[in-house]
Amino acid sequence: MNLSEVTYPRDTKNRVQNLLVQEARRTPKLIPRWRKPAMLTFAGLALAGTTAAGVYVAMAPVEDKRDIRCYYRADLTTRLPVVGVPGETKNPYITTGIFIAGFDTENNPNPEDRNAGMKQVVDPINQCSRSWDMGNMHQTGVNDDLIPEGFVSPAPGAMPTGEGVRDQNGKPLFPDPAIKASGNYIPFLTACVVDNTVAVIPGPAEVCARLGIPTLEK
Amino acid sequence: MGETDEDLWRKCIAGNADAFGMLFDRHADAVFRYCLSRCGSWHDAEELVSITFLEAWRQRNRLRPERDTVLPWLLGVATNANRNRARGSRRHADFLARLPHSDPRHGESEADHAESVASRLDAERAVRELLDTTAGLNDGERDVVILCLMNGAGQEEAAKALGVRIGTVKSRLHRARAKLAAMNQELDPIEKLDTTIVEARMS
Repeated sequence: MNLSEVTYPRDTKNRVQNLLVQEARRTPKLIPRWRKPAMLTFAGLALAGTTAAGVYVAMAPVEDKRDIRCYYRADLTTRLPVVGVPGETKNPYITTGIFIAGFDTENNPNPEDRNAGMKQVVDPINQCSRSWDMGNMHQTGVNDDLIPEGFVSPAPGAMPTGEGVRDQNGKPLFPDPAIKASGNYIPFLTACVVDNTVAVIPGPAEVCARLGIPTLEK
Repeated sequence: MGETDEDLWRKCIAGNADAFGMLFDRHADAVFRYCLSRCGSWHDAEELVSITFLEAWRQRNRLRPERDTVLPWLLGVATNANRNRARGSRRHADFLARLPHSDPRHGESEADHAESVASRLDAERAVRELLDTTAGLNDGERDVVILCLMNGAGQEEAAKALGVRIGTVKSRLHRARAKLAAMNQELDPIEKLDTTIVEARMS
C-alpha cells in the first residue's frame, strides 16, 4: 500500500463538496465589526416601520425565460453519470424550452442569440412537469428515491394514455386533448434562480433557500 | 493557469462558497490521506475531512494566506479537528447526518467492488501498522512523523500546520527517528522495520 496513491473516493468527494458549498452558502457573510452597529440600527428601523416581521425569503426575477433548467434532484452541482458511457458525466439538469413554430434558422436575425427561435416560457413549473411526466427526468434512475413507495410507473416504451392530467397548480399538462400524459411520477416542483436562469427543482417551497439560491420572482 | 489558493481564499473570506468548493476539490485528497493516517479508519477519515473543511470555513477570517498554498493550514485544522473529534461531531451533527459515506459498490461491478473493499482494508491495515510503530512516541513527535514521513509534508509546512517553529519540527523529527530506530533494534530481525523504506514508501 502506498499512501500517496490513496484518494478520497470520487463519488463521496463530489457529494461532500456539494454539501459543503450548500452549507457555506447558508452561512451568513462575515460582517466587519465596525459595520455591525449600523446594520443593527438599520435593521431596527426596518422592523419599526413594519407591522409584521416574517421569514426573509430571497427572490429574484429572470428576464429571459426562454431556456428553463429542470433539475433531477435538489442538488445544483453533482454531475450525474451517463448510462452506457463509463466515466462520462452530465449536467444535474436538462434544459427545456418551447420552439416558435416556423422559425427560420437559416434567416435568424440574431445569430448571436443562442436562444433564438424559442418562446418565453410563461409557466416553468408546468414546463418541467411535462418533462417529468414524459420520463425525461427519470432516465438514469438517479432520483428513484423521490418516487413514493407504491407509485406505479408506466412500463418502458408504453404508449402515453393519460387524459386530463394536471400539474401541481391545477393546470393541464397538455392542453391539447390529442396529447396524452405518460404517467411518470412528477414531484412537487419549485422555481428558483441559478445563473440568472430559471431552475425548477424538485422540493418544497423552501428548497431554494435551503440551497442558498433565490426563489423565482413571479 | 487557474486561480491560486490565495486568490480563492480571499474570495472565501468575502463569503464566496464556490471558491470554497474549488479549494475543497484541490485539497480534499491530501487532507483525506492525512486524516486516514491520523485515525486509521476509512469511515472516520471521511467524516474528519468534512469536519476539517467546515471548521476551515468557520475560521476563514483567521487565515491571511501569504504563501501559494493553504494546505498546511488545512492540515493544522485537521490535526485539531482530530483531537477534538467528539466536540466537532456534536457541533456538526446536523451536517454529518446528511453526509454520504462512500459506497464502494457505486457504479462498479461485483469484481471491482471486491477490489475496492480489499484496497480499503489494505490501506487501513497498513496505516494502523504504521501507527503502531509510533506508539512509543509522544503526541508532538507523532504529529511530525505523520505529517513529514507519512504524508510527505516539508518541515516548514509541518511547522505551519502545527503552529510551531521549524526548529521544533526538526528536533521532534530527530527524536522520533532515534526512538523508532531504538524500537527497531529491540524487534526480532524478521519484524525489523527499515525506516528508510517506510519513508520512501509513504512519502
